[in-house]
Amino acid sequence: MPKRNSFKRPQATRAIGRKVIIVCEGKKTEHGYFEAIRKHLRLPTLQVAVVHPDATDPLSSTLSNYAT
Amino acid sequence: MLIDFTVENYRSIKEPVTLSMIASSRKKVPAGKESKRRNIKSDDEIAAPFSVEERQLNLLPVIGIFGANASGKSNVIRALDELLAFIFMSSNPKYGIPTRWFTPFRLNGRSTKEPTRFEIRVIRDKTIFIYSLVLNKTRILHEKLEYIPAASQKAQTRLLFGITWQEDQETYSVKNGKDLGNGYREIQESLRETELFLSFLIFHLDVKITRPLAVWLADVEELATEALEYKWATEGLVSSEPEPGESVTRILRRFDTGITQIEIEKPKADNDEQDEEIKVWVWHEAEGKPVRWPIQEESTGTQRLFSLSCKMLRAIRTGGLVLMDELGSNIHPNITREIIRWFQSEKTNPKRAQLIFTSHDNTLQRANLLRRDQIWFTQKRADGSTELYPLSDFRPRNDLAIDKAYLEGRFGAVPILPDEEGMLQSAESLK
Repeated sequence: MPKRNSFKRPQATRAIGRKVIIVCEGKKTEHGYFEAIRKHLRLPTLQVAVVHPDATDPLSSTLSNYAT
Repeated sequence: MLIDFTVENYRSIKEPVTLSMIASSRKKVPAGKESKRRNIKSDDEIAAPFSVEERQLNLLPVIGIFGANASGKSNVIRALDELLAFIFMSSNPKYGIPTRWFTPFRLNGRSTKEPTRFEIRVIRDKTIFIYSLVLNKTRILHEKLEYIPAASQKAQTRLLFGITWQEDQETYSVKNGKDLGNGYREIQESLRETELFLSFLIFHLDVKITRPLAVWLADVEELATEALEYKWATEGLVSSEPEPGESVTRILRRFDTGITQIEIEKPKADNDEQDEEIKVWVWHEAEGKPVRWPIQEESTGTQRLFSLSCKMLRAIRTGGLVLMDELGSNIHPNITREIIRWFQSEKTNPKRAQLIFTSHDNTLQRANLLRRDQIWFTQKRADGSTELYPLSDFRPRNDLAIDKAYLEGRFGAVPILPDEEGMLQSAESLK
């Protein structure tokens, strides 16, 4: 058990989770992999989104929707 | 007041976790123009901590624990509750073998064989007590009480007693500090293996040094099941209030339940055959005329509010510690906020009673109710064990909407649920 002699709170040490969105085309394979990782590592701020190939052009409006 | 509490290897808690009532010493940033515009109060405006200047100690009146189901938030306050109950009961053989209550972490083979450990630090009448306990289901392995006397200049701890189980000799070895002396050595050596010397000290002896600790322990409002909560609340009310009905009505009226008066009917004193129950009547007004019925006919929420009001009343009188599991259940969020505010303010809570609660209601995290060092989270690790940490560990921006960021999982402590695809799959498998 850690020995605590002081009557002060320790300093702030944690980082606020960033929202991460993984956008992929594969409905089964990629989605399955990333979902499994999300659950295994228990990452609440990760979201896996599946989009149609038409949408993965970086300039398309569908993809940029996720950025907002 | 409670300073902090540490527990290791108890139910879902594997690694040691510490719940600390110590206020974080954030530099006092003057409320800038920006935060003024957004109406954000500074920490000390929300709740001024109770200061013990001699010890440079600043203590919080309220702590709220939030977290997913099965993340261990109830286990944190349950550990504290069972430790305190154990101190009360271990000297009374009527309760059997209370060491059996303490279940170690079960999700790995090694922890089940390891002992459970506790440490609690309390201040009462400017005297600090540090009590530590190590035990397993069979026996107490180590018990130690240290203290810092009120008059002492230095914050140096002094040993009162330490009792340690010697596995090879199958006996306890006793080491006492000068302040307690060896007058009780015979008692200390002849205690049962499941009996705490602290219990014995408090209930069978009257030792001046530990009196403040005994008073603090007696004032704790423990956790209770719903039925028991009501029973204890009414019993506590009747035993401590000269006019119980009047006093509890004054608190209950604030919650807009439509009750005009509470009437308490004490059991007749000459009836010593059985402990007869205390009857509680509620008065309402119907078309200008008062009517009454038993409290049991009120809604679940109103009944809970009655029990809570009794607890609050006792806490305001004694300045004791109140533990509440699932504070928001059956109660409107605005009333929950009112209860918390009532503990936070020096005006309504002059003796600085402390409240530790768990809740799923994330609206309680909204600005100006709880400070950042008062919001705590429990998170389930990958191995199923519990992690406990305060929001002040993160340094969130002053104007961040905490309740929203919490639900998004940015502080952890939320359940990891399947996404839409996963939900459809499990729905498919049920067909």
